Amino acid sequence: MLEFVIAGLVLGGIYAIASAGLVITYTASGILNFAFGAMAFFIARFYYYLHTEHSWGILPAAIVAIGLAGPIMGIFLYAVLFRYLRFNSPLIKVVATVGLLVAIPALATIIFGSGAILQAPGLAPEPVHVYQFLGVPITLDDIIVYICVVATVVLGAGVLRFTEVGLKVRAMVDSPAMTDLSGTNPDLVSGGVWAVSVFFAGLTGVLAAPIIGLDPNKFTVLIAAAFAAVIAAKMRSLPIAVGVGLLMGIATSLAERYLPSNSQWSGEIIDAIPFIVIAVVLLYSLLRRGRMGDVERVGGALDRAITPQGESRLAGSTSGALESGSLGLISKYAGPFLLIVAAGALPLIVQGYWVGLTAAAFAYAVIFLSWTLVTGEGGMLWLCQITFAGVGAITTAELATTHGWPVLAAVAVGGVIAMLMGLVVGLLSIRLGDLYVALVTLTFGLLVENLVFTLPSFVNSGLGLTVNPPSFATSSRVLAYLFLGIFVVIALFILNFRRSTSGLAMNAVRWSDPGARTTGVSVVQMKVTVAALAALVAGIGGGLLAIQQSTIAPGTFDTFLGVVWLAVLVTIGIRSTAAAIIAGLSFVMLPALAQAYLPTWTGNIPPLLFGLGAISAAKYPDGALAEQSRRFRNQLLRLADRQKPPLVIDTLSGPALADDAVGTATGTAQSAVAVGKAP
Amino acid sequence: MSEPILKIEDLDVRYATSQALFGVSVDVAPGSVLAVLGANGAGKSTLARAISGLVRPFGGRVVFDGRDITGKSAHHVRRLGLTYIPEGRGVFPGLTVIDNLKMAVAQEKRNDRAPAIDRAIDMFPVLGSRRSQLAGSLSGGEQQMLALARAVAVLPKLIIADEMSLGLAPQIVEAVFQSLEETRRAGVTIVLSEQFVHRALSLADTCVILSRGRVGWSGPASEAGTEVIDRYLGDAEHPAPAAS
Amino acid sequence: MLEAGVGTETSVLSARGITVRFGGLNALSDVDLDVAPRSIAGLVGPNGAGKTTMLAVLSGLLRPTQGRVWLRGEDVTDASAQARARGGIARTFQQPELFLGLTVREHLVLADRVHFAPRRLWSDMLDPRSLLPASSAENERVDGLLELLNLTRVAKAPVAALPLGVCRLVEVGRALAGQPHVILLDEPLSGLDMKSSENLLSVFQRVVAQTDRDVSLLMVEHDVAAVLALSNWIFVLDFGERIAADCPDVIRRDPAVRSAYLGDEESVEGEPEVPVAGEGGEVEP
Repeated sequence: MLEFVIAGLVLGGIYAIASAGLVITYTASGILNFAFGAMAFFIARFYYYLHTEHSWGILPAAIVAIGLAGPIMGIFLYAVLFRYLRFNSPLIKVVATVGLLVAIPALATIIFGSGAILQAPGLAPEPVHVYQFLGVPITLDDIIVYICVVATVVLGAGVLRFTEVGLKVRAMVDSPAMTDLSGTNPDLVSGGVWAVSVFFAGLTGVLAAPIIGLDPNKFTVLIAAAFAAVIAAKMRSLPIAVGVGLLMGIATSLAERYLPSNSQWSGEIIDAIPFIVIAVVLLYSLLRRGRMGDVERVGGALDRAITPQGESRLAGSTSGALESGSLGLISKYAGPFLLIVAAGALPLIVQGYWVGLTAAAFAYAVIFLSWTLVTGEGGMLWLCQITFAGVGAITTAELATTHGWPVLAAVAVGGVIAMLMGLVVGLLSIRLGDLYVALVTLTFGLLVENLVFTLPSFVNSGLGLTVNPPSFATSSRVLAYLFLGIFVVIALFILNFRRSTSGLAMNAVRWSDPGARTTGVSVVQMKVTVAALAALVAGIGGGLLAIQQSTIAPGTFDTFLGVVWLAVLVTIGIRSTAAAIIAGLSFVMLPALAQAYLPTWTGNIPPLLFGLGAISAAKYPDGALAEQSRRFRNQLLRLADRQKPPLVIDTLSGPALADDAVGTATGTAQSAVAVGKAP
Repeated sequence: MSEPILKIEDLDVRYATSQALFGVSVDVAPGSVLAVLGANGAGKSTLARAISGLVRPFGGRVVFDGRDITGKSAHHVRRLGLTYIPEGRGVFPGLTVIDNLKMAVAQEKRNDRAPAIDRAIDMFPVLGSRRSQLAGSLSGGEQQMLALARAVAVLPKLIIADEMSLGLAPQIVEAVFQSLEETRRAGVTIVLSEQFVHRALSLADTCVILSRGRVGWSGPASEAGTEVIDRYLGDAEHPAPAAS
Repeated sequence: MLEAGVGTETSVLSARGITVRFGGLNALSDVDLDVAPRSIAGLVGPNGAGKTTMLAVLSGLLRPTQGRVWLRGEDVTDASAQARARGGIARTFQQPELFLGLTVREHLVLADRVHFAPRRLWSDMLDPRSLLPASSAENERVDGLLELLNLTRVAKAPVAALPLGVCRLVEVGRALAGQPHVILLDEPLSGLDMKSSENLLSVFQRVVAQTDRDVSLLMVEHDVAAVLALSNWIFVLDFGERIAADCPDVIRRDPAVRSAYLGDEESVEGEPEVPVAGEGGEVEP
């Protein structure tokens, strides 16, 4: 048994270092870094580039990659991005780091070239020396992992507890404003913390490379496991995070030893260990009726008092249910209407192969509507909509192809199954807050991807499952219109929802938990309902995509790809139904156009742009494109509205400003940006 | 009157949706005590935050000790010798008493730090017995003592004390005011914003009354009589609790 | 005027033995409280005395370590905040908890529908008729409230851009729209200037006097003078304990209250030290 504990400490050690890196930036700046895995991959790839591809020695390559490039990346990202995120909502923080998660691997591919690398050396010289310890073979790589873990724990705890730098970091965690008032520059401290965190990311990457190879997907999976340790530590406790990380590694190793190696289920349980840890922690905290604590607050009362209010929120525009003026309404709905008409004309204009792509774009647009509902309306960031789409697709194939159901009925049932899964995941995570929703849905997606989507009957020796279109949809053109019809029905549902009493209640729940509850609206019921409906929409969209593609190849519904989808939608606009259709068309058409008319290397540019687009959510929460169109509309309205006197608030109190009120009347939350000092 | 150590000229501060200060101008002479009075929401805390660099002014100028500190960050202002004790306990609740003091003197020269901490504890002996206790678990009065200790440890040129007696029992308010007087005797200029109007005026040399973000009245504290206070603070509007 | 009686039958809201512990700290110890129907009760005390904690317990946002809460004779200790809200407890917050995506009017409409048409919260989702104009009864109620609070002119403005004083009024309006039996007000005057404070206080008096409503107010407030002037009954908390509960005239003379809270031992007769509360406010543990 001891030998498996020793072996397990390698994986556990990597989890532990990763979770330490995640916890320090969360406590110091309130940002849970979803891009940690991507950063780890980038640095590990850079190390490989220096050491293997350019024959640098191990030491100089490690120093340059881990010791220099990592901290520089951390300081750079802090300076250009993270420092502006501090006072944003958890949603924006997650979206921005998810954008990085998409952009960094794309950037790596552009810089270092594409192609997964299966075998990568670690920090030990090749061939790796193997020692015998208690009859257990231990490689030098393993020993280096042990040393790094011990060094991390001892040095980390020592620095934090006993040094002045550590004191400043602890002070910063307690209250950035008080730190500032004490004469210490909080930006320097935070920048330092990010440098250390990305250093840990690089270390994790280089240590893990010999075990998992160099593949951004696998790194994201690895970090998702570290997330389990972070959740168990309630995001804040460094010792618990490190301890749980080590234990998970040991548990994995023991499971490999004691579960029957020939059973399919053994492998599945091993893959599921992080998810089991998360589920246990979540159930435990739900049973204790507690929330996981005030995860969204950084600093004390003073920090909140000087926080610029009303700045950068995801989707700040009003529900519009009681919006006045026919011109406002017409200009608000004319654009989307024309867009959908234009999209509807596309299948008639283009020919052949491109018609099929239009149909695919409409199927994607339906899936994207699921985010319009859950994120745009519900204010929750779900990272597993692609998983629901996959469930919808597989159910459609199973029922229609294997059991002979009418294909559209199969699509509907697929949607319902996805909805039930959404219900369960929602009940588990929503009560705990926005950040946990993002974490749990990401891990859930990876779990289903690795446990269910890889079942032999679905992989079908790599051929995947086949789906036949409904008998009346003989051509891609008919299919495209069928999908567009379904899209319009769901879009109308969302529009109605937004303007209805349910929409008011959802808005209440989203903006103020205590305010909604003390007005008599149940936060959990409302959010879970919207999340389940969104899962239904994603499931239906997945079924449609399966029909269009006619085969469901393995890998179509990988969680990481779903994150790219989300980046596309966030770039274009998370709240607008029209944006969903533009996003669908962009996602399908841009790469196809690039492939048809541009050199191959440009293929990586769209993902990079979408990643950067998602990062820009920090500045344009409604989506960069949606923001532009709204500005345009406001210009028009302002021109038409010249005669009306500005709305002046003189009811009671407060030095209300006429020009602020004008900004209000035109609905631009951004115009009211605080002049208060930027954090 | 000598050159003012703190000169505020025409200061405007805006928050997200409203303006909090309109063209506020105040001068503070070195070694004097200025009382900033005003009703709820009159802009007292905003003024203090704008001077100390926590909030960036929209317009106007703040000159401290001959230097323009308008828009400078809080840590920069503090290093120039202006210490702000924010309203509602200016301490790190999650750090121990001794760590709080260490943070306060972290910008001093290495050799000066230990004596500075000793001096602060000499002034507030109660802190000495609570060195390793978390500041958040101290009583309200002790937290204010710690906040003051943090301020005086570095021998600043000017202290801005914002609502130091808010929510404290009377004996403790008394102790806080005594410490402020001692600090003043040590030559430190003090800007005081207070809810106990008369207590504040008894310590102050000059007085500024803010009203809806503007300077409503300013002048020597001795001239801030009942009439002025009633007009701007509106005590007369509500029946006051009967005095014994 | 009615005096807040003891005994749960005559009170609209009662609490007995409320104790709240945070870690080792007692934020509230064994606090009793009763609010009589159609009355205004004040809850005062120094910073950190546990006032806001008490409101959190009464509104269901915080579960007490010990003690029970009754709403109109019914034990609601185990009821969720939303269930209590539907049962007739509304509240406002020290930092207004508004719905930043909604207009002023929409806040009131939502609270009105939660009370009069709770099914619409769900059925509207699939019902295109929700796009039709609202019922005239609803419009009458909502517009009446907007009028009462002098909010008609900002009815269509999103709350995100309103000044604090108006935000407080919107919270009061939202609370009233749910037709509550009792409204818990947390520092309703903090951050308001004199004129707004007076307006708000006169609204409170009018609301309680309105014959078509049956509503009581429980007010936490720094401005003791205002509370004493307005309330029928006062509760005084200090360090989590109730140190006094009586009518305002008695409270004014109570030496324990004076030494704990008013801090005016030195003041000369006729020139009392009236605490003018701070701009931010209480920092609860």
